Amino acid sequence: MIIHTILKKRFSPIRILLTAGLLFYGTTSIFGQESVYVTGNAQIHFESDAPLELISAESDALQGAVDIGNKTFAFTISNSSFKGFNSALQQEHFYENYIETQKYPRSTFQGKIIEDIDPLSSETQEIRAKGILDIHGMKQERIIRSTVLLSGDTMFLQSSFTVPLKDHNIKIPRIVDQKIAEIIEVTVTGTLIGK
Amino acid sequence: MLSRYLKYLFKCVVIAILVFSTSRLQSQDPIMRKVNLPSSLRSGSVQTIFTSEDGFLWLGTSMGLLKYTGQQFRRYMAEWIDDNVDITSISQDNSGRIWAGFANGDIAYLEGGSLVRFLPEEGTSSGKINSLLFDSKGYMWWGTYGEGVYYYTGNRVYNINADDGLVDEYCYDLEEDSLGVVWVATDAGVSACKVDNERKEVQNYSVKDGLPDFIATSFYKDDDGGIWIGFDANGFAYLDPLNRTFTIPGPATKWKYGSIRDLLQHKGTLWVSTKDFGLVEVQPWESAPPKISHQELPSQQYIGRIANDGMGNIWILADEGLFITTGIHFKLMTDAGAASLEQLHSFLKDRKGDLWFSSDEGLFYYSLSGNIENIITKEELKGAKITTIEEGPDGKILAASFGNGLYIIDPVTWRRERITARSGLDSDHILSLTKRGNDIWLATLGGISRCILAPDGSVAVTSLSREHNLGNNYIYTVYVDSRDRIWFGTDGRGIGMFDGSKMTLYDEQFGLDDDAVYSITEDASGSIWCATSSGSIYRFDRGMFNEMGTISPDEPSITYSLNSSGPYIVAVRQSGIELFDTRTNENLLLNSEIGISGIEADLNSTFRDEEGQIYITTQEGIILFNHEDADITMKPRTVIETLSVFSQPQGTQDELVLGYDKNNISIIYSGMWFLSPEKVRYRVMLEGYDQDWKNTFDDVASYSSLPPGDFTFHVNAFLGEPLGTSSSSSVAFTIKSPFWVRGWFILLVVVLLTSGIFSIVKYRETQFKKAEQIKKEKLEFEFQTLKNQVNPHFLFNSFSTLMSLIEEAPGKAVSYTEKLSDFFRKVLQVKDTDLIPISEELEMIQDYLFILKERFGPNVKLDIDLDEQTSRSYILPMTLQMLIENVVKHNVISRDKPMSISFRRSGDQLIFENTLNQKKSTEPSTGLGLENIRKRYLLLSGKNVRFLKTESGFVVYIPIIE
Repeated sequence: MIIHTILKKRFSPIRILLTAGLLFYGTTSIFGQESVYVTGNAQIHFESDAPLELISAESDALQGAVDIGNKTFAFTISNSSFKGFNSALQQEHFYENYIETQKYPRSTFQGKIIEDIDPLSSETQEIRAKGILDIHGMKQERIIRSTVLLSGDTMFLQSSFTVPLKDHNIKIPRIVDQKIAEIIEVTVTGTLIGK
Repeated sequence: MLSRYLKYLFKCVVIAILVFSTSRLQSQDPIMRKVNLPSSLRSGSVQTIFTSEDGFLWLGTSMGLLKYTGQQFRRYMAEWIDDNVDITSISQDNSGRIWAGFANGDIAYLEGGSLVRFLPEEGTSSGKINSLLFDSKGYMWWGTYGEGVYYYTGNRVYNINADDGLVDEYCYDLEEDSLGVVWVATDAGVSACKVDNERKEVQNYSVKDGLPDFIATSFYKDDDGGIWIGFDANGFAYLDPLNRTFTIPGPATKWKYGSIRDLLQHKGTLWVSTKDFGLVEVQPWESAPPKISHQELPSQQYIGRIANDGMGNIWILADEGLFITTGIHFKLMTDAGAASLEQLHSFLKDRKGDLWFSSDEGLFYYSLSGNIENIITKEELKGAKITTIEEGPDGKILAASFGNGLYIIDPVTWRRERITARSGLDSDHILSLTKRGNDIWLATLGGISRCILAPDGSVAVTSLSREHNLGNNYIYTVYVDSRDRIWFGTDGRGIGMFDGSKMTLYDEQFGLDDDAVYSITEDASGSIWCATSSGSIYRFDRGMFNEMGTISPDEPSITYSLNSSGPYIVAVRQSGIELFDTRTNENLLLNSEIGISGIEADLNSTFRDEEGQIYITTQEGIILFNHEDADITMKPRTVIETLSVFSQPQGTQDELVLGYDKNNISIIYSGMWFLSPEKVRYRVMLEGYDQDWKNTFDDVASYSSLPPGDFTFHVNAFLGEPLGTSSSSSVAFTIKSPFWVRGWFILLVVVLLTSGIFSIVKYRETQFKKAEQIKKEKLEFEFQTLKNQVNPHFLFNSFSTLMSLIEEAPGKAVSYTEKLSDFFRKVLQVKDTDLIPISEELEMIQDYLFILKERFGPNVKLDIDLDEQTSRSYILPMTLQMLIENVVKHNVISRDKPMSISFRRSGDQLIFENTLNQKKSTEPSTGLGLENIRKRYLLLSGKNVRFLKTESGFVVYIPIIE
């Protein structure tokens, strides 16, 4: 907690990044390998495949960190960083009506990794991350499957999972419910750099 | 003196045996049987066992999931896994589907005969799945080794681990209590998990909360909703879910049987699988010490999971394989201390619990403390045998002998008294003894004797045989029923009954097949049962003896003894132990089930103790029968497993309706009788197809090319004899008839046929009408032609031409007349033909033209431009002639106005053309000529004749018919 408080003073006020920072500072390297990996370049993509309309958008503003030493992780993204909608109107609806970026500017996922990540392995490793997924102000406990590949000081991460709108209290007006899927499919790919 | 010395010597020997051998308590062992696993299974490769609701035993192995039916091991493989991965847990969901958890964390369920991998979005586990559980909410739980517990709500997987407060992440077992709380057994205690979707409440209990040990290895939920918990050390505890309190019952304290692997409760008994002592039987709420059941199961053998199958059997998974025990209803006692209990003549357990038994070596007394004494030695008996031992009203032991009369022994003073023929017995050879109050009834080779024991110890002897003039008769058995009637079995006079004043004898006339009666008993409802020397067993009902059971005359089987326990009659027979359920009249013969091939015993070789347990003395030892709440499975359990159509297993739906070509049906069924599966036979019948039942050993019935219809498949599984009790199962299905024999199709065909026939009739009618019309037209044409030819003008003109020719050129007149007659003849010739070649028509025209030329001279000019092929084509007869005649009829032909007629071909038409030079006044035109040609062409060829009148000429287009 002390570290947490110190970090709170030294870094930006975004809590999630703070957690990431905590991970970074809180652990040491194991086996001479990197323990904490921080996002370098990561994309998040979502898709809503509704009967009448396919909506997809992506963002490369995903930030976060994975600590394979104590098996913790934290990720965050600015909800207003999503681009690539079919139209400006669609984007406006997404920001204002559904995700409500004014009220809920960020989405986060943080928790612990169930499996041990072998820092010496150069194979693809399947892991499951158990944590709290916070979207639209609604926190849900989730287990999300991912694959990681360690290469030098880089971690390649890939994951896909679903987000049911009702789990996060995102309401769809009756009139457009044929245009937005009940379940949104999310894909994350990224590289994290060992620190 | 000598006998006393021998007795002393014997006592010394017995004591020596007791001192120098390890002291063994009298042991009652469950009868256990090893089940041979498929040879492809490596020893020890079975990880877990599970019994499903329908009674099958499931084995989790490294070679897939195995279902044991008694006859077969059906195997289901995990196709998606390349290597052999152990199945470490099995469970059944609320819909009856079987699930399996794997050592690599996979989970699969059984569907349509194969294992289907369960793939939730979150994955299942990467650690070994030690337990699978379906709770009352329908959630599926799995306990893992290292990742804590997961549960699946139907759309999402959640995890409970140390972060959520779970006491430990190494989980061995799961169980749900009566309040819907799921308990987790771990290395560090137990956790109670109450969840609702993602909301979790976890509470932990460990040694400080009263558990005897940290490591909880197994759970078993009892009928009250409480949970028995087995521990790695220090025994077991009982969890009361209402107060969440843990009780350690007496037998669990100072536990010295090692780590508990598994436990289960059946009735009052807790069966515990232990690491050091194998299977241990505990009466948890009684003070008696646990019993170790190690017959055929070496105590060193590591045993694992145990399961009960709802049919009175307990399954034990051991390193050496799979075992099944009848422990619940039958046990075997082979020794009491140093003495063998094999080949006894009679047996008694007295009110103190001490045992008395006789063999060829004499009468023995075995006290609970483990002492054994030879009360009457072999030498003393001098060849006589103790046939029956009973406890008298005052605790005295009554031992009837065959040869030495009756011994009355005081177990306190060891004073012995002997009642013999000299004291008034009918004979010293006593076969059986029964008591009622102070009266003792003896069946002897001389008749029925009665001894009345007076309180002062004196004995008065009378003879029922002599009093009632039964004669010097062998009496095999005597029995006093609940109404104090004395029943006795005679040799040759049937069964007798003395009601205190009157003697009645029932012989062959009352339904018995044999007049020698060996054994008599009374069932719980007061009916008398007896067995004759032929082995048949009867129940006395309304003055008659009715034969019961299944003994066939080809297979004689002595019935040694009858006894009654709860609702059952127990018959000890040469072929085994036969049970009769007096409630249902079902019977069951047990032999290989309880590890015997047959029984050699004495008459009256059963003893019933105060609790209703029956002790049967056999060559193998004493078989102990306990009806345990009277729920003995009397017959195999019959289950239809799958119905396949062309080898494709069908789902379990209420109504199976198949297409007409889906008529190749096979049905797999099982009759479960795990104790002796080789006895199971089947009777099958497909109602709606088979005329009668078919007996078979096969557990599959196949039917190919079934006709359409409604069918019900019935199967009965029975043991050995078809007459034995059996259970049945059935499945119904329907094969639809093909569409061409169904109503709507037939209707459609009828409609189509009718309309088809109608159309044909209609068509033919039209054709007739058309032909009629052609005929009519033709006639009309002929008539017209003829009329034209006999036209007065034509004749007049012809005659005037002829006249002038006669005058001017008589020779020419002759040829003119010839042509004229030729012409008329040809007209008559062609009038009946439908078509003629153009060449012929042209010939006729040449004749006609000759006639015309005589009349008009060179003013008529005919120009024919037709090739050979055209000449061979056809036209309607007299068409051209008629046209020329028409020309002559309507036109002026003179030197000033010559007439030119031409024929030529254009395409498939013949073009007739003439110059137009119409008469001012003409003969009245009927218009019939041209109209006739047109109609005839239309009718005969379907082609039209066109007429074209221009300024200068008249053109007719005639179709050529090739």
